Amino acid sequence: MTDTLLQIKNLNKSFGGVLATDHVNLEIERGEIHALIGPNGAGKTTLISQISGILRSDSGEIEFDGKPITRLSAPARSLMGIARSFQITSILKEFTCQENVALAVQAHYGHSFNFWKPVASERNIQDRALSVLESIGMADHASTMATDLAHGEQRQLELAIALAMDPKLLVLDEPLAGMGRPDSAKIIQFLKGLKTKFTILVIEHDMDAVFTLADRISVMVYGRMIASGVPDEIRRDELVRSAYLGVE
Amino acid sequence: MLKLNSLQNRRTALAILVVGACAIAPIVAGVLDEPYYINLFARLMIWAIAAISLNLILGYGGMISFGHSLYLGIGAYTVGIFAYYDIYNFYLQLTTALALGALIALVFGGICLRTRGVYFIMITMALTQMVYFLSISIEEYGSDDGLIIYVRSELGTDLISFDNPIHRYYLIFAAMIACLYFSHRLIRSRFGYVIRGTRSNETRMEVLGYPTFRYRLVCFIIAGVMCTLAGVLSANVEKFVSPDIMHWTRSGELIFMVVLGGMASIMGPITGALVFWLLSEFFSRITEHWHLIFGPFLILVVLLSPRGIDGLLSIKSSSND
Repeated sequence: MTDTLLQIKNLNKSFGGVLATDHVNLEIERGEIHALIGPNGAGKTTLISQISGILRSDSGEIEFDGKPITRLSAPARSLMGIARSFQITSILKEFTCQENVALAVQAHYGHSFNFWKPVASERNIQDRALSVLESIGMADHASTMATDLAHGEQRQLELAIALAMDPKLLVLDEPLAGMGRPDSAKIIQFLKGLKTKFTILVIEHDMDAVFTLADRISVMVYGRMIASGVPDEIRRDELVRSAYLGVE
Repeated sequence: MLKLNSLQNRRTALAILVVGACAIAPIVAGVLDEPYYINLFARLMIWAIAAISLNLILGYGGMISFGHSLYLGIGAYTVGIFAYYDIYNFYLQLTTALALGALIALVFGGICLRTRGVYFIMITMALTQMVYFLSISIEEYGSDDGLIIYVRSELGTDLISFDNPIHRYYLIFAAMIACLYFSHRLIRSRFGYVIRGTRSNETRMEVLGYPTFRYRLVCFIIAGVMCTLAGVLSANVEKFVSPDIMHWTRSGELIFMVVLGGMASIMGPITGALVFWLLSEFFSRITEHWHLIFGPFLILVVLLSPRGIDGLLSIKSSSND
């Protein structure tokens, strides 16, 4: 039985005359790791910005968890359970790691129009933030300023922030970008461990990672979705080989 | 840890020094037999309150409002116009002023906060100038000659009165401490974190699930209301209000105070207001064209220490270790 968490129908977005996403269709099933691959400039990041609500779509429909979300704002989608990480690290640099993660937790623990009580004294937020940091192996860095972290650690923090939102769908934009071999092996291992807890849509250029992790893979080229299927199908797909995999 | 502690110690020392100076100023003035200093320090503290409120949006929220003096005007004119109609009840004046300040901040903020960067600066300035010219055009309330307030606000008790310079001074002092403590609590609260996070990375905050516009608008209103309070107090010190109080150069001075003291630091606005005044006194004694020296001096300060006086504290502490 398949259970669709995210359904995208005929989604379009153009910048000037360029179609960044061109009648894109995509289905993400609950519980799967779905990889989105394609050459640079294929429109992958545009697509997930449309999913997370940072970019408004020109036309088409997005349905999440059975509800249409095409016209919802980014914060509203986030509260429904879509969390995303960014390709270009988007952490709050002047805050500590714990504060970064706590802000993600706080957003989902009621409103923030409290002007008086210190956040640091809200045990449920801080405990949750610490346990997320611990799960990703960053407990030692809880009080380190985010700006002082090494690049790989910043990528990890980016991931921790997304996890702290306890999302139904985790959208990761190149979680391994700029990471060294040992670091990325660690993250791949970690993502594998998330498989049972989250549905994940991940953009990644590291093909080893993609074929190790993904249950299904979709391939985008020039704004179009040219193929979608299980890894073996994608590996054999002629169109994909010539457009993308063959280049390697 | 040591470094942090020593920065913390320096900040505390500065806070005690500045707040202490304000606390004992009337006593010193009494000893020196220079009652002039009482009003001077009272004025200074009113500037400090206005700067504390601006720091909330400018320092912590990253909203560079070039029209913050508007709220000084709203506060002062509310007192002035009430007094014009022989209504002197302080509580009525204050509630009306704060409500009006909040309403105007809601409307103006609703407009300005849809823009960013230099557009935000220009629109906040334009809206304030609009009210400035409005105040000039109303002849009933003195137009550009201003409005003389013959009777100060009445507190409804014989124990304390705005007419007694010492009472007045400590009322203002209490208001400043209250604003200081409030902003200290605010920036550590949930709301404060959201505002600071939004300055740091708004897209990230949106994706985390914060409708940032709403939070920024509420912050803008809080700052407006606090600055309106400063205006109400100002009218009671000066017994006079004129459009000058909300001229755009006043907004600029407020920005300088905040920047000079150190943006996004609790004590910054007060030390900024104090140092701003000391410097303007000092330079104006050297030459009549003191702005010519003062301007470049401020630019130099900003270039050498972008985080103002508060920034200097942390530089010193790290080089000592």
